[in-house]
Amino acid sequence: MGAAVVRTRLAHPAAWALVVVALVVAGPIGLDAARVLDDPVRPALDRRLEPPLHGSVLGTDHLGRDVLSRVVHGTVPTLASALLGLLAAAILGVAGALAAGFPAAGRWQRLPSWIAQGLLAWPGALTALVLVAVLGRGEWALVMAVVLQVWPDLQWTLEREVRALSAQPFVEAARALGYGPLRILTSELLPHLLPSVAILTLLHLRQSVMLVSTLAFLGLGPPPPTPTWGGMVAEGRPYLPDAWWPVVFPVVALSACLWFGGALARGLTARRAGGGSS
Amino acid sequence: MSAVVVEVRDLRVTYPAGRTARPILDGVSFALREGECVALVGESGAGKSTVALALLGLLAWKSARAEGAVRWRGRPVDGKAWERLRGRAIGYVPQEPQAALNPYVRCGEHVRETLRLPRQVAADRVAELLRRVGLDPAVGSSFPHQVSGGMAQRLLLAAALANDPDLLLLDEPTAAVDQTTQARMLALVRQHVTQGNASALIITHDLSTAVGTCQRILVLHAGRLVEDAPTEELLRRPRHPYAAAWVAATEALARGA
Amino acid sequence: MAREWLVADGVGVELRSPAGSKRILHDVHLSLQPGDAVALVGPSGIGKTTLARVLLGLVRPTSGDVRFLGCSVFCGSRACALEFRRSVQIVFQDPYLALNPCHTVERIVGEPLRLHGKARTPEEVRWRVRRLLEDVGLDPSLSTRRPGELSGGQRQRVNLARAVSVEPGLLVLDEPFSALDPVTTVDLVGWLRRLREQKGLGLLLITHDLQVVGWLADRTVELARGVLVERPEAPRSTSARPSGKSREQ
Repeated sequence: MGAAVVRTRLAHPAAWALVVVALVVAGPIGLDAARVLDDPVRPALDRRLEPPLHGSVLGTDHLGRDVLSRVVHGTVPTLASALLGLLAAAILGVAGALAAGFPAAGRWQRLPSWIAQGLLAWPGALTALVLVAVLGRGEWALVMAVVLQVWPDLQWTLEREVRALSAQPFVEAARALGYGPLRILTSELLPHLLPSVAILTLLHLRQSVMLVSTLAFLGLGPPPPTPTWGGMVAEGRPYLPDAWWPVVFPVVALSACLWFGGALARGLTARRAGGGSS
Repeated sequence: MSAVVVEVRDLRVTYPAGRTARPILDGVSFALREGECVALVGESGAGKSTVALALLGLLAWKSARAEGAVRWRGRPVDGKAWERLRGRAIGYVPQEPQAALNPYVRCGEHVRETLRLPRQVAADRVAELLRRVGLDPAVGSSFPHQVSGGMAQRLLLAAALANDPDLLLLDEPTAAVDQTTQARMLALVRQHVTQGNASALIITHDLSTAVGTCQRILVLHAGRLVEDAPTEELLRRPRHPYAAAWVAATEALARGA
Repeated sequence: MAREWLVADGVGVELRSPAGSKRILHDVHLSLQPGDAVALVGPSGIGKTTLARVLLGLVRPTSGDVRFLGCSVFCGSRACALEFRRSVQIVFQDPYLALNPCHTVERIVGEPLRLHGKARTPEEVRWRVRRLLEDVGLDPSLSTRRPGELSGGQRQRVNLARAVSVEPGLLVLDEPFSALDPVTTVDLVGWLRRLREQKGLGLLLITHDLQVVGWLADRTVELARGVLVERPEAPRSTSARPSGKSREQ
């Protein structure tokens, strides 16, 4: 199996990820430009809690704002922090694993490994609370929360993989040829790591979207009136006996998103298991 | 002539697309008879190990596409039947002994597993098998990474011999062991074949293995069986150019020593 | 006595495992000069490969040291280390695992050329790689392939091409022919002999196959019970099949 195979394995998920990002970013902008959606932020108190299909497709919330518009505009704050956090966690995980898993690693290179082990033993929700206290409410606290949640897992798994790879004769051959550690890390080890990184990151997509939404629900996300799915559920909760739509539609969006992430990860692992023989 | 143990007819094996379009084996036919040791020689990559996989019914496992027939004692074999044959009627010593042993399972357990006997009953039998291949029975309690490649190979031979198989498949049995051990392993194989009315197919690069142990040599070249001749005849009059080169090279190596 | 080149000085290696430690090398002394052709023999599992890895500086011995041009290969200066890496090369037993499956043949053979300054421009690297492939009997058009597309014999040829690309003084061969058919073996043995005659390439041949020893080595040392013993007789006479009890186990 060669880089060509690695590339074809990555081709599909990468293309999918691009499609998702494009939809997330371009969707609201496009719909805004087409003036299809109402303003997601400005209250319209004369249209409070209108049911779906009475004037607006998905109804309005307790301040009369269009639910469809808020769900669509909530995509960016929700998914962007999850995706950004995942990306950062993946980069950190790869770098940390390469540093700590390399056989000749010194004490300082083992540092990421120790931090990761500490974080694994620490409740994630508590970390998020501390982060919000330090960074204030907003997207960056969510991104950091995702990183701290996902990175220890990646670090732990990839480090093991780096250690196993380092024992391979072709890595030993590279050492015998006098390749420096940096060259061995980037050109001998990294290409073998990428498929695992892609799969692990996708597997964590669910978890991080969930985390971001939960934090927003708890009121730790971007401050109102910025729409987030978690925040919409929290805001709609008191009116639930009379109006289900401000709560149910963000949850549907969230579920669809989680399902999509899961399907992507399943598809990728299946491809890997099927095409893994050499 | 003695009874045919296994027969391969017109075997053609292709690996799924993306790799090479050319079949790894093309029109391979041969039969192994009782009391016969046969050597299979050829370039690395010629498809020798694929022949072994075909005789184990494991081609589907490697997601290879196979056409042609493998007949066991005159009857065609299907999936369930292969399962009954492997480890009982067919003993297999794979090419990379250390990789073939589960690192979490003690050496003795590997032999006991093929015996399919309860632990208490099996202990004596395992010790006897280990002694037979020239291993100290104490090796049984160590883990695979604690033994050398040669010891692992003998361990696998012990496991392969455990159920008195009708067919022994040995993939490069002598690549990882020194000559003393080689001679001893091959003597065991020969003894099993002549006494137990069994048949053995030995995949090898080594002339002394082929000549000293096998009555017949099959030469595989680029997926085709180019020679199937008694050892003496092949050495005297090789017909195919690769077979001729093989004979010349092995003789040169023997002279060099 | 000439100036010392590559010296193993009292090397001892202990392997630790949960079951207890096992001493596989005790007190190994070996001195090699560039151009020496030595065969290292001994029964399987005795520690020949471990000794090779120690000599290459890939494994740190429990006791003793390996010195190259007087400085230890484990804590030598950067310049000395690079010269050591160029001068001593190894070809591993298993041609399937020793090549990075992600890289093309051209990259595998060309990288050491660049690293050790044997070729600088990309054109020069490409040209030298093609020459090296021709030398080891491979079609230069294979340079765009990856190891997965090559047969075992072709891969071992790539391994050899990579090892000799930097013009080493010593090539350590760890059972280089055990996975190859006799036709390929004879071909490569002939090529190594030519390289020895023309360029004075030194060899340390690790093998249990005494057939090729006589062709490639001037002297034979045997590893037994963790120490090296010089074999007094010519390697030729050792080809007689040893009989009797196995030395191992």
